[in-house]
Amino acid sequence: MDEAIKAAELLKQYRAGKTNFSRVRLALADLAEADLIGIDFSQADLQRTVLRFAYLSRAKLNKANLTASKLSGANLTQAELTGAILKDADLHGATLKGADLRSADLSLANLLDANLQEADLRNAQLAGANLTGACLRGANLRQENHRYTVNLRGAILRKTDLRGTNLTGADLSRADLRGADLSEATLRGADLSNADLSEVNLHNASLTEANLARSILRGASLVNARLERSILIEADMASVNLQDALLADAKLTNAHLAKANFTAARLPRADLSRTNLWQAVLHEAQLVDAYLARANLMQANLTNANLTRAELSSTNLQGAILQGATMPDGSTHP
Amino acid sequence: MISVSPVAEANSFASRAASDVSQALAQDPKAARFKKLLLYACTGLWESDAAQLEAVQFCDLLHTLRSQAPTWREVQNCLVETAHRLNKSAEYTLIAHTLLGLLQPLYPEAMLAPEIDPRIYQSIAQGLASDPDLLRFKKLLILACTNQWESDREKLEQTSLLSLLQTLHSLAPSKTVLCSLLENLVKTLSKVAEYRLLADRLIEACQILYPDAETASAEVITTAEAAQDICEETAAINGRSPATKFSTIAEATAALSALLNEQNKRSNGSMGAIETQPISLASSDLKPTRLQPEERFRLRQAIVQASNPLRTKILLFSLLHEPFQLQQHEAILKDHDLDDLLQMTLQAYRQVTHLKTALSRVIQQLPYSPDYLQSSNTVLQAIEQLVLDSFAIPGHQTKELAEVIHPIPRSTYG
Repeated sequence: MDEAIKAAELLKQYRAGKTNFSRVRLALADLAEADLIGIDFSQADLQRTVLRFAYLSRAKLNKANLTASKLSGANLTQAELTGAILKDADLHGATLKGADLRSADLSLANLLDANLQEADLRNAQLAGANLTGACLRGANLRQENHRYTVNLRGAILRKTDLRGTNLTGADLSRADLRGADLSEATLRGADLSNADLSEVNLHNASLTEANLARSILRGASLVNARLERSILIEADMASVNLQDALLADAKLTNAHLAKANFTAARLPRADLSRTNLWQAVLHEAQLVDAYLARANLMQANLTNANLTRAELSSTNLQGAILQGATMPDGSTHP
Repeated sequence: MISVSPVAEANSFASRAASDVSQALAQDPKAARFKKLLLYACTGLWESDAAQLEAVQFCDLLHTLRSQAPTWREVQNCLVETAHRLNKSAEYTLIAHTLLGLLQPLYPEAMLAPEIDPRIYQSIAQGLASDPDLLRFKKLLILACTNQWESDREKLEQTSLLSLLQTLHSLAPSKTVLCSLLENLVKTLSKVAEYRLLADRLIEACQILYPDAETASAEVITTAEAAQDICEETAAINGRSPATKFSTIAEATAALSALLNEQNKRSNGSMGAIETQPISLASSDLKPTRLQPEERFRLRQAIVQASNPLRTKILLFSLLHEPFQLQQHEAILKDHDLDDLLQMTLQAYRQVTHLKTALSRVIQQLPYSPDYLQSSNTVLQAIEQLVLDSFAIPGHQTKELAEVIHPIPRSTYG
């Protein structure tokens, strides 16, 4: 039976040693800065409750309803929040280090500058959430059994620290990731379609089979990244740095790649048809069996590139530098 | 046939132009204000007596003005800066703008001034158009361009951002003027802190309109490093220490606040009285510190790892602006991420000792919480660690960071 309780009464009982407040109804209560370490609020109704700067480390909040609650600056280190409803919650600058947020609903929540290091966010709903400046290092966001994926659709992840994060299969479509750090991150099979990845650091990231169609990658760094079988159709990749990247079988049709840096990149069988590679640097790039039909390679630098069996029909090579390049027929360009 | 020397012809042309301009100024409904502004610009005297003003002739004022400010750029700066020194600075900035329009025939190079590619305005407008604060930006822009406070949502939505930006640019020929203009306006509003931050963002958005004027380079500086280099290079040419260059009002405010704190500390060591005498920012050797993106992430991580992120933000906000108050500042704090606040702090405080003193002072102004002390210690340690790390990497010693722990003697403080 759910029990309604006043904030003062709850604090009194807590101080007296009681910790189990599961299923209580405490909506709209003001518990700002309250010390509630280890409290059990499982399945409690905490809608719109003010818990600003509250100490909730190791608290049990599984399946609690925290819709539109004020948790800014709250300390939720290692709190259990599985299946909790945190829709539209204010978690600005909150500490959620090591928190268990599996299947939690954080859609439209404000997690600006929150600390989510090592948090478990598998299957969490973060659509439209604001994660600007949040730290997610070591957080677990990977897909479970090819079915349960973290939903970050349309989320704001500007300047978010996602270094080394596992985002396998995550839905990041239309997400705003400008200036985020995703170096060493695993984004295998992730949906990044229409996402804004301008100036993102994806150094050494794994994007195998990721969907980056119509995404914006202007000025992004993808040095040594793995992009095999990735989809980059119509992506805006002007000035992107793909040095030493692996793009085998990647689909880049109609991508905007002006001034992109593909130095020593490996692009076997990549579909580069109708791409704009104006002034791109393809020095020593491996383009064996690549499909470059109708691509614009005007003033591109293909010095020592390997174009063996590459399809170059209707390719614009005006002003391109081909010195030392291996041509489709196997000959070496003078 | 009578031959006329080119010099005589030019003089005759200039004389005719001056006469035409004088006539146009005298016939304008704003003639009295033009005269007041010109007189103040030329003589430093503020005359409001109608009879006295009547006795002064526009042609004499224009003659003096042209000898004091012989180039178009000089006259622009002269009039706009004069307007800023007045109580009704926003109003007189508009007067200065109209006046400049009428003075153009006297400055042939004004017609030859390089025009800004309209696409630049469009790109700025596009950036602002998608901003959640679009309407507030428009309010600020309308205020800057027309001196009117517009709050009608429909009218705000209908007003073209593009034309506002173009007008603003013509009103503020240099970035210094833009900062000054917006700061003067912001000070007149009830939500000063909120609109100051918006003004900062507007200045940042308009950055592309102001490639460093002193470099005489047509290139738009796109990277912070390049801008920094040019700043230093220009200073070296001028044979003086790098002058303070602030890209935002917040930077300038932060630097000023730091300077005031330091002066205060030097004068009596007490917390209370902040000296109100004008401070010359140019005399300070503060300059923006730029960190590499990876350094910024590292710094931020170290801080959130060991402190409450919101407490740290409140502490830095209070350091840079005014003591945080939940009702008043909560929404503003959500517009600024920790990274921004840390950058501004590093720009304002170049030495750990000064930052430490200032933070201790701010903690005492905030409601007691041990978390603020924790935040302060964490920020200081993280900055010191960052400096040490940058020394550990060969060839990667950020000059500004080095200065943080190896203070450079300041001439201003002996």
